[in-house]
Amino acid sequence: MSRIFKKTYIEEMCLYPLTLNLYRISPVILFCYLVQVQVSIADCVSGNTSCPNVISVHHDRHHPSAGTGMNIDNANTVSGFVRDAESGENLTGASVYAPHYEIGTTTNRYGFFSLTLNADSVSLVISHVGYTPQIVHRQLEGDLRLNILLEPAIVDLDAVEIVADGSMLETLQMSEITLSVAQIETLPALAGEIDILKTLQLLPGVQSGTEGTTGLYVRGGSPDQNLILLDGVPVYNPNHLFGFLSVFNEDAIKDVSLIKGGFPARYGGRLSSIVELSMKEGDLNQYKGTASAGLVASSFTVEGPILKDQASFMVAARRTYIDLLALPFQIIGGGDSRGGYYFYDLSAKANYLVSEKDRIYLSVYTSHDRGYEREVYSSTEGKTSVSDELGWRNLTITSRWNRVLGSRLFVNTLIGVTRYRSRFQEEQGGINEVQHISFLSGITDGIGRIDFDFIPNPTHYIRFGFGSTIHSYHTGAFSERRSGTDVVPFDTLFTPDYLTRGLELHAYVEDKIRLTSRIAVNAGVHASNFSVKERHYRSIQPRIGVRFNLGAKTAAKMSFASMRQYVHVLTATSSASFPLDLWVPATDHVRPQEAIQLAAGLNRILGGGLYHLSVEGFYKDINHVIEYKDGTRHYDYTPSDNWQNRVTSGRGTSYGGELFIQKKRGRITGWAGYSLTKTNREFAELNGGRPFPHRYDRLHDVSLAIDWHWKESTKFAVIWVYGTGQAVWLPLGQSYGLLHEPILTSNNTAPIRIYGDRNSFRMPAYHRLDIAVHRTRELKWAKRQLSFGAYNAYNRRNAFVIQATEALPGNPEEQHLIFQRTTAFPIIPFVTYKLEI
Amino acid sequence: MRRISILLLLIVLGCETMIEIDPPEYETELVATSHFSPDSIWSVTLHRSASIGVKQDVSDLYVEGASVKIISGTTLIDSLVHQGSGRYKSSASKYPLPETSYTLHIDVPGQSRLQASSSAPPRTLITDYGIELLGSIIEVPEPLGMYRIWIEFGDAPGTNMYSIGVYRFRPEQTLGQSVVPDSAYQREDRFVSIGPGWYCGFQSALEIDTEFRGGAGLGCEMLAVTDRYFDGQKHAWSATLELYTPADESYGKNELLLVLTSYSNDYVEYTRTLLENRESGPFLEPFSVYSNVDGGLGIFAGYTNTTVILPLTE
Repeated sequence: MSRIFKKTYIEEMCLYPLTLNLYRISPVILFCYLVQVQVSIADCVSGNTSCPNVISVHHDRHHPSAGTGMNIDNANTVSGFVRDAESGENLTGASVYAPHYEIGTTTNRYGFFSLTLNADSVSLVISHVGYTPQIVHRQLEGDLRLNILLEPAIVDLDAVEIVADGSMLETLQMSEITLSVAQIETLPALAGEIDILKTLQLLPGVQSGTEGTTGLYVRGGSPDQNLILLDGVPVYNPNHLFGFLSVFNEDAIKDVSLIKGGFPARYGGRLSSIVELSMKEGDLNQYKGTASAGLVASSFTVEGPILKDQASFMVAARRTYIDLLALPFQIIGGGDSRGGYYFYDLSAKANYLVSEKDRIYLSVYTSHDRGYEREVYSSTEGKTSVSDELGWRNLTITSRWNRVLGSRLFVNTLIGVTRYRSRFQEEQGGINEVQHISFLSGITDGIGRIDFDFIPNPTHYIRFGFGSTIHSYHTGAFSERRSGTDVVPFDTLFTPDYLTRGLELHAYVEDKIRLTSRIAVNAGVHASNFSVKERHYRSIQPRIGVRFNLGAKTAAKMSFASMRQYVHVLTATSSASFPLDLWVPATDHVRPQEAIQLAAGLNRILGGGLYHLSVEGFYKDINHVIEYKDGTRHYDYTPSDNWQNRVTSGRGTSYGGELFIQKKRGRITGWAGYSLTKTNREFAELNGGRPFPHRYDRLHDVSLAIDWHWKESTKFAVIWVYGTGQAVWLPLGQSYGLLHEPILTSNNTAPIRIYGDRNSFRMPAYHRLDIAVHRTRELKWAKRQLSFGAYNAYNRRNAFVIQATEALPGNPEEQHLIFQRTTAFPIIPFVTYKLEI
Repeated sequence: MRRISILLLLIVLGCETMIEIDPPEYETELVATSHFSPDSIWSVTLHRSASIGVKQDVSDLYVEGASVKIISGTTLIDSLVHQGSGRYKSSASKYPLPETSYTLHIDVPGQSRLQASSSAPPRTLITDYGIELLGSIIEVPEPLGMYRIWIEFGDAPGTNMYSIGVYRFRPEQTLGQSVVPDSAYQREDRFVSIGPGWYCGFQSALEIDTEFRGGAGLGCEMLAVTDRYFDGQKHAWSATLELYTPADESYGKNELLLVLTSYSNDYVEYTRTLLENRESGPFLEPFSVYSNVDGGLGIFAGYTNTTVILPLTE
């Protein structure tokens, strides 16, 4: 069938009225108009796709301005918000399309859209993932304000699920994946704790660190190179429980998006990825809530209107009960010693629709992890005690004001604070002496920024803005206090220069230009300045992304991005995310991290829109990353040392390819991802100057995530992952060292580990299968969901760490080193129960 | 702070298994070890390193038949003779001198030469010292007295590290061989307080650690300090410790030896890194041991003892 015939057929097909459920016809609407996918006759005849009567247009389809640009002399602008009809929440990324003109736009993060047309009437198709598309017809006698309420789609297993097919071709942004929380909630999780960041690890180009942890290693980057934004402000340590859980409670999150490359100019400050999470805004119409209980933690969410249709709130809280579960055993065990661990997090948000043009938001997030132990020793002279405590906290407060100026300009003003603190303290209470040691580190940012979306006409979408961040880096305050009758009082701060302040300013402009009906460009520049202790770093970072539509089913995309990051993290360990990792600024001696990334790829729709295929290749060059020098360790603080003296800087490269195929419709949905990546680091002062594999260099990475909607009430989900074994730095040889005594010659020998090149060993390949079953039942007063399953279902003994240990400790004559593997997670069953009211 | 690692280990509660890993090819190296001081004759231990995972008796690794020489400038000071178990000693009973740079040459047939240089620090100038009985604190099982001891010494400019050991003559209980003339000294370690800035052990003194920082040091065998708080100045140190009173006849002599040791940087760095290397764990970065031996591994490092005698009174 020729392309012309197809096109004609589709146009004709779309003019004939058919009486179909709206959500059933949505695919063809999208196919016909969103991305001009050529629907086969067979599909139409067989009923796989339908041909709606949605277009009522009073214009010449062949108007020269259609599809490319607009004569805006007589232009009218349709603008407004797209919202959830039930809850009133703004919908991000909803498509607003004028099919007759073959032009459209998407809503921004706040649900706003603006579309300028040279027309006196228009039909618009408004659609969004999981919602029933809506078609509106309006006469245009001037600029039009149009707020759209989309109804959530009713899932019919025998029908086709509503999806925004073609958006991947239409969007200019490459290397971006957006996941709805609904998708994330279905997948099995460690201990049943649904984890947004761990789901991102299943995407190609994103590698997990040590098993079970939430660290994201995006295209060879480190976790500190990810900008994790919660309602617009960064969260520095998104980890609970040493990284085994992320701090984000999925009940409080609306959606999450990840950008791995081709960064638009509006983003800055990190090298490797942007993870944006939006908190739910709260239902404007009705009160509702959820409560869930799992093996590790329980949570609840409450939301509802403060003023109906005008103001709403949402509160979500979660707490673990590891400490409570351990307490009875400690009591039974007797003694005065106690230890425990707990975490909690609290998310709250309120918004107020002040007027049609103004809306304000206030969101607060806080989390706290605390591990503690206290040992008490009794003697005839009295009691002594030793207590240790390790804790870390996140706090973000964000206030935003959305303002619509005219019909083509949207302004978001944000003022926010983010704070991360970690503290380790130990107290030894003697009979006549108390000694207290504490180590405090963290970072606090005060953020202000204004962002403008200006949409003068359909060929340009201009974003510009500016902002500043005042950073306060607490790079480790180590103090000791001692008091008592037997000692000289002592109160010393060993690291008086622990506080560093920096000022970061940024401005950007980017323009998404539709050059022709096939070619679009997003070009921009991000400029920033960082001032710290009389030192000023300035940077101009060009960004460009290009999209070529190669026919109706395929789009080619390319991008270039230059990034700069003014913060480093000094990490404590290679195996887990420790809360005592130090966030440190660029300084006189330590330059900011920089990266350039080139990426190119193809997106294609397959199987009549059933599958989305994305293939991308990238090359990333990173400069001025830092590591501890040989002979230093994170925990070994010496008073005379400044952290800057203990680090060395180097560079790294990462390159590879990614394949991602996704199925969003039908009973079985999910995705498969494959990454082929090579990542290395090179430091003049490390490894003899020779390049070495990055800690999480992983040549092959495969992930499979499948949901099977078996019945209305029953869903199955499966995850399978495979990865090349982690690169580890282990000793090659052993010798015997002498722990010498200067007076007595009863010296003892000790095995010495002789290390070879960094990360020259590979752990065995990693693979794992997780399964979950979800049973849902509608009660009179609530919907309940029982979920159960298993993490690592076939009990693969994956290596958590491998280390060289002494085979026969204590016997110097026979001591030798052997390798020992620790498996952290054998098969772990889980069950969770959730109520939605 | 390493308790954090323990806490994390408890959380993951993993299963540990011994596994076979084929390590990359490893070529063994010669390892020379010598800690020398003006109070002891020259001595060097020589052995070979081994591949990891190989169960091997230490004695199989000792190297015999090597030529081991001590050189100062261009002058041959001594040729050491193998005395068994890879240990080479001065046959001429020669002692190192403080503040003199020495070079160690080791030639093993078929191997390239091992070479290292170091010196022993000067003797420390002690300007004051003393001991006093603070009182008798307990009578059971033996008479025990609480003593205060003190010492004042001058610190040379630059980074220096010191340790103090307190020893007591006790011929019936020889726990070690001493380099001091009477070879029957026992370490006293019942410290109640060890003085501000002083730490128990080398590692704690070099770092900020949470153990025995100037507080009670019961059981502490070596008190150590770096001169970061008194660089180039006089330093007064005092401590209190419990001692069995002189009435106990098993001691023979009513005196304590207080030994103040100063260390070369090579000695300090080797010991520090050796201790770190031994602490290898799942959540600790690998740590290589410092070596100043060219052509091989190991250490050639000097230290100097300065001793004062403290008379014990009842």
